[in-house]
Amino acid sequence: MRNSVKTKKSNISPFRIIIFVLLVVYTLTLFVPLIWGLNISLKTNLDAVAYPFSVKLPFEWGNYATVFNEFKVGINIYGAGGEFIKTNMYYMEHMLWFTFLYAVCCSFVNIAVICVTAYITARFNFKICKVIDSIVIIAMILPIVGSMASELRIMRALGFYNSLLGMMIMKANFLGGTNFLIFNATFRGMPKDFTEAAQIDGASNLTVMLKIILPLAKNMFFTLWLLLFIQFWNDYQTPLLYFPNKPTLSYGLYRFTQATTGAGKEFPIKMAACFMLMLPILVIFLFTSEKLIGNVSMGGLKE
Amino acid sequence: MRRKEKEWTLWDKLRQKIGRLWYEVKSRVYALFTRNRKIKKTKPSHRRLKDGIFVYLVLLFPILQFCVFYIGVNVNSIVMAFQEYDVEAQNYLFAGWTNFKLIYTEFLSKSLFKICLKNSLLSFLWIQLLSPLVLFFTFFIYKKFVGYRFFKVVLFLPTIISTLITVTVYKYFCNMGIPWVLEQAFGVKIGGLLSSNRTRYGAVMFYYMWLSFGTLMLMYLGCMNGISESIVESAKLEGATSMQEFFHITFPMIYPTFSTLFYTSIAGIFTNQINLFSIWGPDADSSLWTFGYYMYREVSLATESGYPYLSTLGILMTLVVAPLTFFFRWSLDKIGPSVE
Repeated sequence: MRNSVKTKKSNISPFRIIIFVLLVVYTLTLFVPLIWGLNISLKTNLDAVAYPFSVKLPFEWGNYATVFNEFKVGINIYGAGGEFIKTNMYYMEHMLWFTFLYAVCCSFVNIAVICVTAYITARFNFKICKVIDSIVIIAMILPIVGSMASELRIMRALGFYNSLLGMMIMKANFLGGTNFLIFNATFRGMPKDFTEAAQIDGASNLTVMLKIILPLAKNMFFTLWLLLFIQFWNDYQTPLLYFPNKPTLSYGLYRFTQATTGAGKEFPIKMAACFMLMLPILVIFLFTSEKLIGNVSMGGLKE
Repeated sequence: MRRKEKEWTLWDKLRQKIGRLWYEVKSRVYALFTRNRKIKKTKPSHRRLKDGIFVYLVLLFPILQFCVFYIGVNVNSIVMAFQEYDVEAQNYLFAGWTNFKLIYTEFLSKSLFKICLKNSLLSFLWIQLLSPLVLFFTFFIYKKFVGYRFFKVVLFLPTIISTLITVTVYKYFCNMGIPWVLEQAFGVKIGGLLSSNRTRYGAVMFYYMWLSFGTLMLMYLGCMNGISESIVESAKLEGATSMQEFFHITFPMIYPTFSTLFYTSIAGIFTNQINLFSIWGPDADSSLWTFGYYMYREVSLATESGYPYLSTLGILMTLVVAPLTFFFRWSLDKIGPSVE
């Protein structure tokens, strides 16, 4: 007992207190601007400029209604010769649909391809499996900079430019780096008895993969998919480059935050738009935080 | 005596190899004329054939995708580097080394490239200077410090919240919030931190490091949590202090993560945008540009005629950064600490 008291006492050193205080300050600096932004989003433009730090009651919920009605992106459509044809207006519901297709479908296709390829390379002994393993490692290490122009040209040549189906095909690669390695290690670690027993009972390779092995990895699949989904949901640079005529919510937010005219020129409205788009991700995080935290890693440990 | 022994070993090895080869030939010839071969070989080969068909059918799409979007894209990038776009004919023509020469002369004359290089290298250096501090703080959270669960959740927030959102909040916080506070508290009138020429660079770098701090901590924390409890416990039984534990167990154990993050950040020298595009879109002040920002900006604004030049620049950057990455990976593997 005495010993344990002594140990606890020795754990609280001035050094540790300083570290603790610094960590608290750091987390506060993460929170304070967000809370400040939320407060701003509930004010009129005049109040926000005159009193940026005070809480003004009643809250200006109208900003959120304005965002809901005015959150739109105008896309100019040009003809083959570069002549202007018309401007297509996209509202929140359109962007939500494009976001669904991009964030949900593209992330699903990506993680599914990684998972299936990792399964094949982990459970079968063919030369191609070793080749794919090596390709994944080399692609992880070898940095290729500035291939965007070439990618765009190929997308245009294949008719995938401005197409969400094309985007799905482009994202359906197995070069998932860490995700591939995680799946690969999991499938390698699974005992072969299950599959052998099923095969003796006449199960085909496809049945074994879909009904025995993949269900065992469904939790990991879900977690990695969720992380990828969040990444795709927040991504505005890929839509901006590869399918600018199909604006997602993030792309819309980018245009909205850069706007100098219309409803988006007032910064409380910009803040309201930011918080509206953050909400779905925060809700997802609230329910899945246990699964998500701890899955962010890179490089691994020494054996 | 020694020489004799060596000769004998070589001769012995040769004899062994010849013996094995002879045995294999003999057994294959024997198998050709016996039924055993059919009985023994048919079953496994049938299974293997089925497996092979399955493997190649499943991998058909991923391999095709890889061929088009990785090999195809990179080969096309190289081809484009030697081409130029004919606007009238609307097709690409062979241009030899023109693009390379153009970039070389622009690099010597254009100060923009020098600014990009300086800012890209500085962003890399700042993060490297931050790394020891990050490691230190992460270690304290890992040691189940008071409120470590709370810190873990908070550190995760920048990973899930869009950069666009945090950037927008930060932009107005710097341009309106902080000047207002300073004016109210000290009567000092300053412009927005992100709009004034004097403070702009500092504000951008601070924001970049501020967010990277949390993300790096999360990476290291995920890794430190994977360290076996038994190793730490045995060190404690031997009387190791926290510092000894950090330098002799934790750091050597997470060294692969440390080195991976290091060489991926080398690769990031030419891709890092330090959030410039999220803050200002394509209109960031040119004194802040990095190569990552320059490349993305140019590709997003360019038409087909600009692609060959950008591909050439990309290839040149890859030629610089790829050997550097491999060199540092090799060196870091060599000098890595061992777990005592």
